[in-house]
Amino acid sequence: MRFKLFVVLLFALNPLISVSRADVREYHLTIAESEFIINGRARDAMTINGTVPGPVLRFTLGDEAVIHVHNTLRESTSLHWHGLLVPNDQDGVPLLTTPPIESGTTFTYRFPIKQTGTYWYHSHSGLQEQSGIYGAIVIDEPAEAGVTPIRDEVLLLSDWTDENPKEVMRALMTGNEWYAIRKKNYPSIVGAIEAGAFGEYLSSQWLRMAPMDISDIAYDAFLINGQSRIAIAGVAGERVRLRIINGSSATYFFVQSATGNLEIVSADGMPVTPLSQSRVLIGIAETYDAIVTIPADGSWEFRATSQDGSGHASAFIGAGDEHLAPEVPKASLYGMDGMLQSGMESHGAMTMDHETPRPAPPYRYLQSPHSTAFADVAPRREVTLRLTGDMERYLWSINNLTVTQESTIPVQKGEVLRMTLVNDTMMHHPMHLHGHFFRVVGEQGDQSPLKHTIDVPPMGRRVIEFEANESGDWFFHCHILYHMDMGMSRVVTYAPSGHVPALEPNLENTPVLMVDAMFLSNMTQGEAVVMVGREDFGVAWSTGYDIGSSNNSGMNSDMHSDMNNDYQVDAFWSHYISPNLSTTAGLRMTNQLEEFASGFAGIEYRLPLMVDLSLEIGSEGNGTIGLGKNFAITDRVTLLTSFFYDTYSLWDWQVGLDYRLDKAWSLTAMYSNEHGFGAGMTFRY
Amino acid sequence: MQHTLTRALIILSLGSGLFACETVKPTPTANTASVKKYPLDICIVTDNALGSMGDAIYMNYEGQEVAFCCKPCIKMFNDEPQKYLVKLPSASQ
Repeated sequence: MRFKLFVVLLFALNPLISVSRADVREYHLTIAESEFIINGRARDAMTINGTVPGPVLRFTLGDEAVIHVHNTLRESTSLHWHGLLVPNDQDGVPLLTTPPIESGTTFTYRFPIKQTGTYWYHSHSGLQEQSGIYGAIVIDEPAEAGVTPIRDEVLLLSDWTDENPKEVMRALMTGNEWYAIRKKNYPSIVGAIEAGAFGEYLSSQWLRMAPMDISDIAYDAFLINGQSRIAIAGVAGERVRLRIINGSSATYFFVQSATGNLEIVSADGMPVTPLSQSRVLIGIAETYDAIVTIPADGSWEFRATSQDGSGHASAFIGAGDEHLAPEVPKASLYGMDGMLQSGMESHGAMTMDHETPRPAPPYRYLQSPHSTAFADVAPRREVTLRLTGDMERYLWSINNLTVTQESTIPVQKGEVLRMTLVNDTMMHHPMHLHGHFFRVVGEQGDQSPLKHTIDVPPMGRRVIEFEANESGDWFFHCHILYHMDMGMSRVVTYAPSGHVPALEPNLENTPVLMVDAMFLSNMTQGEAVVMVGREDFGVAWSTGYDIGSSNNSGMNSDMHSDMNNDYQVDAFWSHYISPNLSTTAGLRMTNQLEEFASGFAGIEYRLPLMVDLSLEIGSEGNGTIGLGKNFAITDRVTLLTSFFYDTYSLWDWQVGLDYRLDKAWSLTAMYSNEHGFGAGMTFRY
Repeated sequence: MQHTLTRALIILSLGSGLFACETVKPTPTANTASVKKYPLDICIVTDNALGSMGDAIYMNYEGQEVAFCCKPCIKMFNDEPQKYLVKLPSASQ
């Protein structure tokens, strides 16, 4: 009731919202593939009116927005008005709420502006957002006579990759470790010893914990308003309202200003009781308005540091001598405490200091200036949603089901739906609900803040609730672009049960090719696999180069007197059950058994210390047991070991060293009891 | 025959290791027979699924087995055990 009253008052206090007084504010946005100069170099981008980001769309409360979107791409596109309360058919989620804007066509969005604050817009089609289709929205109160509003500056943060985002997605789906190596975030034995955390490293290996990585991707640049360094005018003593928007695809930022504390006055466009913070963690798709006061003449840095510490972007306010913002300490790769601080805090742990070097999002301190409580008479319902996934296989879901497998969260109009979000993964997930503001249930009671996006930290939980006061279908999803596209989303639907919402095809079952091939001076081995969801269909090979000298097909250990003679080619199907278990079956062609071709089936199981165990039974009556372990000596140097026992060919073993050069190539040297010593290259795709 | 026996022993030992290592389950500190089995499949501190962060960790707390998703939870539990023990079904009876 009190929240409704607040909304009523909001409108009552703004007479300009009446239809008769509405001004039409019209924009034309042309979306195109074009080059854009970022940090002095031309990059292939998707631009809006020729720039990344697109223009700032400014409105006044009560306006009618009319936005013509011209699509000159070779594919369909869309624009979603993130955080704006718009009619369902203007929300801009292709197929679900709004028709896709086909190539070469124009679509006109039209909606009333019913709120003030800082918001943003972005493509909701495929991975286009990563390529540059986003921009800021600023909505002001109507001007009051004699009142000069504080000057504002939009700071739209984003991440930039020179790779095609589809290639980024393929690299994530195939488990390529290069992004972590490139960011120096790949755990290793030497790294653990240097960090004084070898015990922690061994412990995590023993407990079969996946390597910690705060962010999935290694970016080429972090940007503020499209550049890594920008300048903003400012003079000593001036107060400036920074409208900070995290428009990145997969990056959280710590933001801080050299001018002193940030005075937060708004979160996700909604006003909050002013809060002073030296450093703020802003999740993907969140916005904060923060006021800074320029202390003296000079150029004062506002810095946005990526949460994984791999880079930052800066806005220098004022002119003159530079005053830099403090560095943010990098998170430990080995100690779990740092990684899980936010999660622990979300469970009420008071271990975090208000001004810790790597703070959690400031939700516990955010307070709405008004009551946001719902009417006591509104029916209540609660659901628990577990955020689930698997970094190794890059499968992301809710309650272990992707949006394709379970599409909807039904709501009844008029009820208050409380959602408990439990994060069962080791990554942050910024969850965004379209078309509604929700209360972040916490320590602020009736004055809980209103938000449209909330970070759920690793192993953490959040409780949110919203009044179901809309109609239609509204998307609810992780705003890490790559997680959303792999299925970590749902549709909050007001429709009767049985309703099947229309959704764009996502990428969860898109086949991707993965190749891992070693070419040495004495032998070659590897595999080429088509990965589809949890299934692998592939070919694996291992052979020396003088196959023709083989004369002992079907024999046993005697064959080991002739090095280089053995070959084996498997055509296999493998089913991924969990990071620790998968099954496999296939057809084997080899000169090591009595028959040229035979069938096999088996399992692969991960033992403690991340030792891979394989057990296979062949149709020839043979059995194989294998053990393999890769020791990450440094982030680039890996010791490769594998041992196999086959009831026909008895022991085979290999020991080698691999030095990683880049995403695709590494130098490899290996000794095999079967093929001897060799050196060469390993290729990954 | 000797080969067969050796192979069987290898496979048996590795196979038993496979199943023994499914969870990390320290031996309860005392009076094993009277330890009450942990009835939940979620961490007593965070409610996260056991196994979602590597192998689950088990501990005997005053005759009650409790389980954690990860090590930092043990400290949180030890700081305020009663806060978390109420999650056990027996606590509400």
